Amino acid sequence: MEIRLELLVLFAACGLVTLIPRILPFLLMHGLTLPRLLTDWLSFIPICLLSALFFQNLLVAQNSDYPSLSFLHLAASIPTILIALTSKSLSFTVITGVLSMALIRFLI
Amino acid sequence: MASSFQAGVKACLPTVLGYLGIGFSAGIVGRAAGLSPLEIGLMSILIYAGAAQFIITSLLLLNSPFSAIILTTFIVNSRHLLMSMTLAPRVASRNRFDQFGIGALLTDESFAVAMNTSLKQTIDAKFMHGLNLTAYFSWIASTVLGALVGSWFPDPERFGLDFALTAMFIGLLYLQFESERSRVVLNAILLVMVFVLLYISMRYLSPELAVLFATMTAASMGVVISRWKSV
Repeated sequence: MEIRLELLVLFAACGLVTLIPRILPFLLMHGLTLPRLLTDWLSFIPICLLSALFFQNLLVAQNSDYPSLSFLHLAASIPTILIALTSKSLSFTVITGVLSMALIRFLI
Repeated sequence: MASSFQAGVKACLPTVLGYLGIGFSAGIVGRAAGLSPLEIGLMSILIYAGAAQFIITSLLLLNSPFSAIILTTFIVNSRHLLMSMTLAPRVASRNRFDQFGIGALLTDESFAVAMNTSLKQTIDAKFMHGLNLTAYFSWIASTVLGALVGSWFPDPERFGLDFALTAMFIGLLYLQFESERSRVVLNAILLVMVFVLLYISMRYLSPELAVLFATMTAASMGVVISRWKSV
């Protein structure tokens, strides 16, 4: 079992470009009072980002065309959303999602 | 003060399942792409980003140049800037080391859990460290485990493990809706707007840039609508 040097360098570089956007606001916005407009805007980021990440998982990018909808992911999302609404539990939601997807793949 | 760290660990536990599912798959995929378990562990330690690690693995398999892999990683992970900007003002700590540590280990999931908690109570550095370190170690352990036993599970998709991430986003999105009940209608409008924006922009942008564009545009619309309503 070995670690290739070129991969170590690559992973370190990828780690660095990942680290910078993660830490920059923490280092710069320290003790700063932000304008109201910006804090309002930031308050919408969680909903919008989580929605976008979810929808991105349902869409399949196409070459120079609109994305297509993955019916497989859509189908597995339905029981997952229902369990999220009724159980209000993240763990149950994740388990339901994985089992639904496994079941759908088994059936088709 | 130990209780605050423990509260962070506890808040992380529901997401651990998601990390395990995705991390396990990432380990299996990495192994299939010819990475050793040590290299997969190293990747998790140094990069620590689910989607990016899948993409890096597939680019390595395609023999992409390192410069392209690094640039792609940057684009995929630049959304952390938005999360960090949102979270930083809410964390009550003036200590530089704390701030560095909280930012360095920020993920989509820990961000969502922290935002959710911040609506109920103030979050301090110890809480964030408990949350982040639990997630970090779960991720490293699960990717290495996936790499070690990967040869017995050649197809993680068959077990639905690839859907753990999507399911986690569904759960986190629901919890965010729950905690912002006062503007549930506006949030529902934004949800639809995000879908439309993402759908259109994915024709012209990479999926990662489309996510950033849709998020930032919809958040701006949220500001406009909420101002216009309150006039």
